[in-house]
This record gives sequence, structure tokens and C-alpha cells, in this order.
Amino acid sequence: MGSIQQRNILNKSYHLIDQSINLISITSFWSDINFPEAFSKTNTLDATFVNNYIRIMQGYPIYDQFRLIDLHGDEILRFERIARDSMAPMETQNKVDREYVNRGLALERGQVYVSPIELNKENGVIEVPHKPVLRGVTQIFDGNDVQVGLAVVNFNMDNIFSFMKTRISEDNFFLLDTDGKIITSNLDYNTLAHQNIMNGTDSMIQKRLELKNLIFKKDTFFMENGSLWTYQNVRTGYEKDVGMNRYAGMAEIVSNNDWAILQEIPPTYINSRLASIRKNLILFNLLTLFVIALIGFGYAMTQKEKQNFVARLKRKNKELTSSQEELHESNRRVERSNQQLQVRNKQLEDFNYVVAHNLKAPVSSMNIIVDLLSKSKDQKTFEELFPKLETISSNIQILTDDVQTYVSILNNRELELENVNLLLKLKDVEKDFVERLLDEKEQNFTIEYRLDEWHAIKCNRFYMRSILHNLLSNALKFRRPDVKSHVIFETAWEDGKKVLYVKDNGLGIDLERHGDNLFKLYKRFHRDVSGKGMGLFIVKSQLEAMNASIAVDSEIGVGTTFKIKFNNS
Amino acid sequence: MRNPSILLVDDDEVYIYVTKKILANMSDDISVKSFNDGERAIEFIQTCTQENTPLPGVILLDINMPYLDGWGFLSEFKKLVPKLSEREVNIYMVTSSNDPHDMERAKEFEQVTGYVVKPVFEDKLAEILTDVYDENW
Repeated sequence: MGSIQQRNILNKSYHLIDQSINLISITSFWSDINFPEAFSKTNTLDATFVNNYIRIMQGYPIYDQFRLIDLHGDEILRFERIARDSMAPMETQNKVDREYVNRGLALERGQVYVSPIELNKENGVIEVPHKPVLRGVTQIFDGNDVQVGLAVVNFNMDNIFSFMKTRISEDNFFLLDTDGKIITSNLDYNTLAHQNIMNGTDSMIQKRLELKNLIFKKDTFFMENGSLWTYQNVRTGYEKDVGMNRYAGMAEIVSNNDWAILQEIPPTYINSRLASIRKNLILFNLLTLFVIALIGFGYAMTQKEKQNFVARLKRKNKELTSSQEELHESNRRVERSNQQLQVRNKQLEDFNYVVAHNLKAPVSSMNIIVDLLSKSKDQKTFEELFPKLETISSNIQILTDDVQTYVSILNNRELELENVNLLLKLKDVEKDFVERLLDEKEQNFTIEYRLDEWHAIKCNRFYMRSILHNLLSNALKFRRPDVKSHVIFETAWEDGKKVLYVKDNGLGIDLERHGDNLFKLYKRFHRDVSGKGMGLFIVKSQLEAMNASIAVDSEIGVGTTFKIKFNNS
Repeated sequence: MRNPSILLVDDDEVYIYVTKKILANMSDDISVKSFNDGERAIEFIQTCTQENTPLPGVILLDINMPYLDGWGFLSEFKKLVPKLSEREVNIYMVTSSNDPHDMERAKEFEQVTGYVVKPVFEDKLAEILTDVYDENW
């Protein structure tokens, strides 16, 4: 029903658009005529030249008035409909305070202003009987293309409205304006009720429909107050939008009109339509009941057979469950080794990085020195270059030792794991720094333990010691001299996994700049703090070997927090 | 023509020494400057832009360095580009890494003119100088 309504509304909407466009082209016609120069109230216009047009216009009842207005808002010429088929000149008025005159004077050449639909006023008073009018306004020019005034055509909307008010069923029709006010409706002979002063018995419905669903002005249909409502915007530019060329070369429209059509199918009509559907529904239900009874009978017959079948099924199911458990177990194993493989892969990548960036460097330097040596024959160059080879050699020595440490971590497959008490281990590590911690200058440094959540972890005790040593060492090294420094070791749980936080209030590091490199070999970030850039690299490798991961959060001048997550726990 | 000027940014002292030596052998006209990490190098570039002193025509940039690595240098350099007016700086990544990842990453920076894998012999340096200064070496 909604879509039939929509089609009906579309017809009405097209009609309104067609008519409006017609009116616009009629209006714009006047801007193409050469008017005599500079006419005004005092310099009256010889109206004879318009008489031919008037003769044609008076045959069409839609033309209600035709006026020429000068640039001061004074009517120079005024024709009004006096009977069904005749128009006559009338006494002119000043219209300077009317909206349409002001809008008209602001137009540019080629534009037509279309006013909102209003009840016609004469000398400031609404005319009775009410006459809904739409005004088309355009500029008029003299032979030298100088604007001399405006042409205003009033169109009587009664005919158009009466078409739109036709019903296809018992529907109620409303034409709404921008503010949702009712321009006209087939419920009421009062057009534009909101422009009138009404007495108390006139209901609100004649002015404006208060519908919740009309907040958003979009084409839709909806149920409210038991009625089916269909809402459709009237888009004057519709044909242009879809690329139809019927109105090519049409004047540009200036207007703040937004019209919408609303149709209501009242509850009484809906109910009468639904009654027959309801009758059919009962019949259908009866039929369904009968079919269900039949199926039930058949079901009872097969039930016995089924019981046997169910017993067999249960046996099978049991077998399946046990094999499913096996499957789960092997799935878990695959997952575990998959995880290990991923870690391994990541380690391999890191190792490749070390090979590419650290190991190859001295070799390439050596290469080039050897090349230079072989090319040069003089003693001086030889004496210069030879010590460089020694430098490279000692560099390689250091590098090999470091890489050896690293590779031994990577290779240690049979890592011995045992339960390590975190507090004991930390106290043990503290001893490594006993001198630094006692040093008067560093009395300022406190170590805090918050190990309530868990205090023992299954890990390799040598690695654990090395990790804690490195982290504590970093906290000491990178403290801020101007504040009371601390490091906090705190245990926690996350997703059922043990987590260790190591938080300090030290120098902090710019992660945006260095985040990628923090755990890489030979990376250093603080110029005036000694170190060779090995600590965090080893920490990360050892943690990965124990299936743990490390993440960092840091802010310069605030501190650094390392988060270690033990995935095995 | 302008005199060639090269900036070496590398933490490998031996490489810096050797490259300077090769360049000195090639011509007396080449001015060479060097830094051992990206941070010092970018500070130098910043000073140049502020004081409007000439920038090096060629930068040979290592990737793996302390304090600020080659990538870090590039992203800082990118921020300076609007201040560089029309002065042209050609950055070559010079690294011992032939890791395809690094080469791919270098391509993402439009400021990078080329990618050179160490060791850098004389002919390679000559090629770079020819490309930049359009002169036979």
C-alpha cells in the first residue's frame, strides 16, 4: 500500500514541478522584452504595448495578476483578474516592503525568483475569499540593457491544488512547506491555515502536523498514530538531476521553497483492507494444523525405528569424542610448536640483521684496505693503512665475542628451566651494584618491590639473573640527576599470563625516533652515558629463548616502563 | 661549476678514514666532512639551513649507527626539505647490508638518490660524483 501511495504522490509531485517550471518560463519571458527607458511613477509608461499579452493572459485562469514595478517598489502597471475570462487595469500600490520585491531587486540577469505559496494580500490585508498565490519575479530591461524594474506574475494555485487533492483511496493529502507547515490539505477547505488568524476551535492539524517521524526530511513511509504515512519531497530540480533535457535553457530559479507531499491512510481504511487478509490467514492456519497432524502421525510410526538408531548413534558419538580429544591434544601440540616456530623465525630475522649490519661491516672495510694496499706501491701508504687493519682485527674480536654470546642464546635448545623466586633473585642482583647503591652520591636511588601477585616463575636462572641485572643497571645508568630516582619491580597477571613490570623515573627515550632500534645490537641513545649497546639486545634474546616477550613504554623526562610477559606461565 | 662537497655519515672509523683517503687521491677539489652518527649529522644540516651556509652536494649515509640511525636521519631530513630551497642534496645510502628489506625501505624515501653496498671502491665514488656533478672523474 505504501508503494502505491508513493507512486500517487510522485504523480502529484511531478504535476507540481511541471506547473512550477511552466510558471517560471512564463515569468522569464518578460526579461527578454525591451521596455522603454527610465519609466517611473512620474514618467508613466505607455501601457498599450502590453495589451496584446494581457489579451492572451486573460484566457488562462491561472494568471491572477500581472504587474510591472519600478526600482523604488512602486507599481507602474497593474492588471488583475476580475472575471473567469478577463483582466483589467487596477490602481497601483507601493510594494517596497514585500519580500518578493526585495528578492526580485537582488536578482541577477537570467534568474527568476519564485516566492513561497502565500495567501494573496491587498494593501496589507489577506484577501477574502482566500486565494493561494505563487509569484514569479524577473528583472526587466530597456533597449540599452539597463534594468528598469521588475515584472511580477501572480499565479493562482487553486487549480493545481485541486488536482493534488484528488484521492486514490481514502487517503488524506497534505502539501507542506519548508517549516513543515501545511500549505494545503484535502481535509480542510482552508488553504494556508497558518497564515490566518484562527479561532480556538480550529485544530492544530490545519496548521501543522506534529509527527515524530518527520524530523528528518527524507522520502519515506512510516506508521504513526495508527495511520500509514507517505512522505515525499518535491524536487524542482529533479529533471535536471536525472539528466532530462526537457527544460534545457530554462532560467535559473532563485527560491527558498522546499515543498513536500505527505499522504495519510487513516486506520479505518487500513482495517477494512486487512479484514480480508485476516480471513485468509485463518483458513491458512487450519490447513497448517491439518498438515502438522499428518506429519505427527508419520513421526510416531518412525519413532520406534529411530530409537534403535539413536542407540547406535550414541556409541558412535562416544568413539568420536575420544578421538576428538586426541585431535585436540595434537592440535595443542601443533599450536605450541607453531608459536615456537614463530619466535624462532623472528630470532632468525634478528640474527640476519646482525649479520647484515654488524658482521659484514669490518669485512667490507678490510676488503677495501686490502684493495688499496695491493694498488699502491709506496711505503707511506702501507704504513698508514696497516694500523687500520689492526683496528679492524680488534673490532672483529669484540664483535665475534658478542655474537658468540648471542648465538649461544639462540642455539640453546635444551634450556634448563626451574622455579626461581623473583625476590631472592632480585636481592642477589642488587649485590652486583652494592657499591654504586651505597655511594653517597647515589643514596638518592631506591628500589621498590611489589611482588604480591606472584613471586616465583619457571625460567632459566642464569638468564633471569642476566635480565634483571641489565634492567637494574639501565635504571641506574639512565636516571635523572635532578630528581629522587627509583625503579619499581611489580608483578601482575594479564590474560592468565604472568607479567613483570620494571618502571623507572629516569631519562626516558624518544620511542618515535628510536622505537625500532631499542632492542638492537650496538644501539646507544644517550651520548654521555657509557655502554656499548648490548644490554637490551641480550635481554630480548634471552627472554625470547624462554618464550617470553618484552615491550617498552617511555617518555622523555618522565621515565621508562618495561613489560615482560611470560607466555609459558 | 661548484666544487664537489661530500658528507660522510658513518660510525665505522676505518671506513671514514679510507673513503677520505680515496677521495683525496681522486682530486684536491673535493671537500669532505664526516660525522660518526646521524644525530650529529642532522644537527650540522640544521645549522647549515639556519645560517644559510652551503650544504654538501652528496651525503653518503650509513644505516646502522648509534644515537640516530640512517632511517632516523632521513625522517629528520625530510622535515627540513621545505627549508632547503633549491639547493640540491643527493643522499646515497651506503651500508654493508644487502638485505632486500633495507633496499625496499630506502625506496620509500624520495630524498634517497641511490643505494650502495659496501665496500665502496674508487670507481663507485667516481660514478656517484659523475651522476651528481655531471663531470668525468
